[in-house]
Amino acid sequence: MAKIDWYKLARGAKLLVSHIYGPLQVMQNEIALTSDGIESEQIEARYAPFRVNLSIPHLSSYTNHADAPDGSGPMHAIPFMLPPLQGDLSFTLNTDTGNIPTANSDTPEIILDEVSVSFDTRCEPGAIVSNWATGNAAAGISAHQGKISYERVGNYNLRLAILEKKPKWGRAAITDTHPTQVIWAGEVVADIELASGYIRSGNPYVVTDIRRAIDPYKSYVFMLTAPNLGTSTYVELVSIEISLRFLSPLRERDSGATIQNIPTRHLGERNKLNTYSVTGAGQHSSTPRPLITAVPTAGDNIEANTATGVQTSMAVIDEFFRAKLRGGYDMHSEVPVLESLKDTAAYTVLSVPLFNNTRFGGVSTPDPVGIPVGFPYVTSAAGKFIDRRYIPIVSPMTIHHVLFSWSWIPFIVPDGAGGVVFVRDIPGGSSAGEDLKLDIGVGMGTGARADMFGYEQIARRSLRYIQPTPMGAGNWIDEAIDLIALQSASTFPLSFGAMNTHNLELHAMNLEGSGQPGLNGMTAQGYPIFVGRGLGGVGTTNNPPRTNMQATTALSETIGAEQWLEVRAQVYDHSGNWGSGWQADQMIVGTGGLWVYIIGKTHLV
Amino acid sequence: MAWRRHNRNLTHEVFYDGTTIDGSRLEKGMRDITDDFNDVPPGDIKNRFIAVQYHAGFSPQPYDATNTHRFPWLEIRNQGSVDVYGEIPIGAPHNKLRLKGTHVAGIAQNAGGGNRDGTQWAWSRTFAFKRPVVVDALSVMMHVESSGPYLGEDPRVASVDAYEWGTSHPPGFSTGDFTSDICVIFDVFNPTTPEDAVMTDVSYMRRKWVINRELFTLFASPGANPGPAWADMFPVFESGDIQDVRPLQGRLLEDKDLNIPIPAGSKARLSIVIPQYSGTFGPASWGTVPWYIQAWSTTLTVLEEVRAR
Repeated sequence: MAKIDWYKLARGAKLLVSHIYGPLQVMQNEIALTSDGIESEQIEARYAPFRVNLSIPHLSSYTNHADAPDGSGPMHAIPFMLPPLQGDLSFTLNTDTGNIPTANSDTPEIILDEVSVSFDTRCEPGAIVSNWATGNAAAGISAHQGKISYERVGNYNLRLAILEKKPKWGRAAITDTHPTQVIWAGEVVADIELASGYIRSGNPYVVTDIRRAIDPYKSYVFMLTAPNLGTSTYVELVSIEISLRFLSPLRERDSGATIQNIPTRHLGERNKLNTYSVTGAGQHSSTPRPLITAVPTAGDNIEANTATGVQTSMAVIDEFFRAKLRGGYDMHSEVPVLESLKDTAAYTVLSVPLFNNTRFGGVSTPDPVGIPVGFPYVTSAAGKFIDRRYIPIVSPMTIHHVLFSWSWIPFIVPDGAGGVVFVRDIPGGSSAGEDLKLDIGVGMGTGARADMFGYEQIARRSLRYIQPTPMGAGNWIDEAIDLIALQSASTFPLSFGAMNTHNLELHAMNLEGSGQPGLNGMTAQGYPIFVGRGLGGVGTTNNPPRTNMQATTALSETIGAEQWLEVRAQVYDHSGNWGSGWQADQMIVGTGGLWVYIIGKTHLV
Repeated sequence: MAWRRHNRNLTHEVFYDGTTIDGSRLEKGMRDITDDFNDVPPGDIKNRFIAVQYHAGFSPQPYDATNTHRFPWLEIRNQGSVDVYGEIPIGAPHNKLRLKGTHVAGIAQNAGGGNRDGTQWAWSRTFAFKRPVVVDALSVMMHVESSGPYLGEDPRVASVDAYEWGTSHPPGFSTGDFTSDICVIFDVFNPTTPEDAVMTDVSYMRRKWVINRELFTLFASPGANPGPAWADMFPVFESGDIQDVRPLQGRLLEDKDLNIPIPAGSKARLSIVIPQYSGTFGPASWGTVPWYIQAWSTTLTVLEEVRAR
């Protein structure tokens, strides 16, 4: 249905019902009937923004001892992917070429619209002195760290880029790890854009209206290079805030009993509980107006204000508009009592960091080998590194995918003897006695200022570093959806002394449940999972306010009262002994840690 | 009665008994209505905002004898002789204090001779909003555990629990009183003086809130979850070395439905300011390592309007 056409009133034409009442009734039906609705193509502002927001606590030439492919450094890079949501995701497996997406012109487009980058300089036209400012011997505890160096503001020259590549995704062999295309690039020239006491256009650095189409089946890397950070006085980039703004068209929201944890009262369906019998407006007129049900017959006088009058019928449509067209959700997961918009959902990404502010950039084994250093919670050789983040649920969303990145970007640690060590050796795998294991999960929690406490699992993944080379399912790197090499050879991470195949990884968790498409397979994960604040109706003795979770076939443990999303990870030696098999100064987590991307539909609010 | 425009929205063509009606007016009326119906203007849609979340957070390095950097925390005072490394240009520092409204008892940023008595540190993140947005919610979670590395206190300070004053406290407080010394500030720079911290518009400010009154939960959720007492998620939050930190614990500052409009082209800043009592008073539970005694999860939620491509 969507857009409508109408018969023009050419000179001499007889006025027919189809000139006036026909189109008006079609409009009324689209607005008022459950089966129709105003679609996104009818909406002028039909693109919804979403952002990939990346917040990096700090960065220096020590935390990131990695050069960009052109040899300048330090460089930091964060991979991400914006895959089609479950209903649009379709592919066939192919271990030779990688999975082959089923091309579909209906796959909603994603457009890169804006990039902004900012950092904290204490509100001054200067650079922030690094904890490594006095050089190697001080073990990164410079007394001048955090001070302003006006002389070194020029060290803040930045090169920014977003690179694109075809993901490894499904391919058995590791080939084509290098990005093939720069889809956007920018540069901050510090002496011009950061050195003024009055206006500094380079902080925040913003580029808008980029309008670059994003391929949902490609992977992307945001790369930041600061080639002068280590020049003369070591300086630090602090509180780096990267925001990539994208646009995507509005789409129909998820509905029905298969959606996990969705409120059963409405199941996300439009006008499930009520139907329009009048305009329902009332806001701009004293009484609601009856819908158009009767039309004139041939030969009737043309009238304005009678029950079948021209003005009476036009006013019905007008009044719907004056009362404003409704759709979407409110913040408490309730749909409007009556709604006219069909496409009220939009693509969204929530980016969450873990292990991102360690002592030296990443986590590594010490010399002599023993209890790893740089991150808390581990006090013995059997300890596991754990981290978690709390994200409040503000507006309702359905989660379709959860991806995460992994970094093998090298860094520097003190050697304890007045010098430093370059940490660039990645684990050799279980066969070498370096049996790294990652458990990672996303859950929803309830219990903030509440009289209960509990979690429900949303997604999870476990990876085990069996071999640093392909060996089949179950091996860490074989489970990756992409392995990316983006660094110069001189600083590239090493595997058994040779250059590793990649320094960045992208993986996908699986939503709880099964049978639905995910990046790990066409039936790898469960149906989308609804998360949203609820107004009431919680309690197991009440009528269940939400649909069951697919995996447990039971109500979520949060019983419709979820308050936050929680992202957790555990990194440990599978054998439970960092002191056995591992080499000294071996990388456990690369600099910057990992990013978890919670991807799904958010809604108009 | 003064002239008043008709109350129709879609078309100016209004037909009424006693007025003229002809094909041209009818066609114009229908064209107006159809045009709007086929390309609904933003103003005719009730729900036209999308929530966008800016999440950031980190678990700082463990406090021990070899702790190194303090980043992303930087002092809020810019004092030429103290905070500058190398040459000081004429007129610098341009912003002697880079945030407004940060005073807490026990710290004087402009004590005698311009020196500071104690100090404060800010984790400050800057955002660029090229289009108008509405700040809807702000959440600051301080992960504090009853055991484990993040105790909310410097363990070297004796007889003081998390976020409490010790024996050296400013007037008005007693030993063991809860501190109220974290500031959370969201401010917007003046578009004509975008680097002048004096001219910012403070849109949101929380100060002098009692940290220990903002407990994440009072519900007894056993740290080791024996039984289990509550449903947990994967992976279980324990390290083997530290097993009593499974439930989320801490202090939570969370404001929703803020409805703060931010104009187009704004440079805005979200800052969390923590104290370091290193002068006349203190050190309270913050000790000498305020950067390492809690982990952080912060989420800023803004509403962005849908738009044409």
